[in-house]
Amino acid sequence: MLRELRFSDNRTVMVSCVKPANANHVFRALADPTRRAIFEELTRQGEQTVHALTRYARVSQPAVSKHLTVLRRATLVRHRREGRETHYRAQPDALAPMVDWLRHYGAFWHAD
Amino acid sequence: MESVFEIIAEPNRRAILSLLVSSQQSVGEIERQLRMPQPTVSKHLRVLRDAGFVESTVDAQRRLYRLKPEPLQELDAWLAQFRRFWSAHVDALERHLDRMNHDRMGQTRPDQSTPTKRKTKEKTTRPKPRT
Repeated sequence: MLRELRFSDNRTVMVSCVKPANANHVFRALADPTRRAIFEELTRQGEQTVHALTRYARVSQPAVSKHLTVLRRATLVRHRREGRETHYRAQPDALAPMVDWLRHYGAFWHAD
Repeated sequence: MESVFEIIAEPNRRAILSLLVSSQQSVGEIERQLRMPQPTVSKHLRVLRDAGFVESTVDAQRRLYRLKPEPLQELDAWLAQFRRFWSAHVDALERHLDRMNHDRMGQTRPDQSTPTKRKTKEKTTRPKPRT
C-alpha cells in the first residue's frame, strides 16, 4: 500500500505503509536516546546484526534487544534471522505519523 | 531537562500543542477544549514551558499560553535527515503506481480513483514523471 506523505514545507514523497504503526508507539520509541541512536545508525549503515548494534550502542545485548523490540513494535525496524544472527534494518517510512503530526506546525513557523 | 522527543511522546502534551497552533489559549480554555482536569493541564504546561515549547503572557486576569517554534523546528530538522531515504525509492514507487494505473485503465472501470490520480489533483512540488 502506498500513501502520500506531506512534509511541513509541503514537499511530498510517496511512502509504503505495509501496516501503519500506532502513532503513540512511534513517538514513544523515539523518546529514548539509545533507541534513536540505533535507528539513526541503521538508517545510515543499512542492515546490522544485534552484535554490531550492541558494540555501537555501548549497552548490554539484552538492553539492545529490548530497545529493538520497542522499535519493531513501532515498525521503525524490521528483522530477519540468518543462522544464529538476527539482522535488523531501519524502515524510515514508519516515521510517517511524526511527519504528519509536525506538518500542522509548518504554517505556524513558516509564517514568521 | 527532557529532550524534545521525550516531551512530545506524551499524547496529552501533543494535544495541548496542537490546540495552541491555531491561537494562544488560557489554562481554562485548554482544560475545557481537551476535557482535561486543571491540575493535569497546569502540569503539562509547566513541562512544555520549561522545555521551551510554549511561553506565557498575562492578559488582564488571565495567563495566555502560546507556541514557540524552536523545539518543533529542531524536530523538523531531525526528520529532514531521513527524507533522502524516502526520496530514494520514490521514483521506483511512482513507476510502479503508473504501471498499476495504466493496467487498470485498460480494464473496465477507468474512472476508478487511484492514488496516482488523486495525487495529480493535489498541489505537489514533485512533477509526475512521464513514462
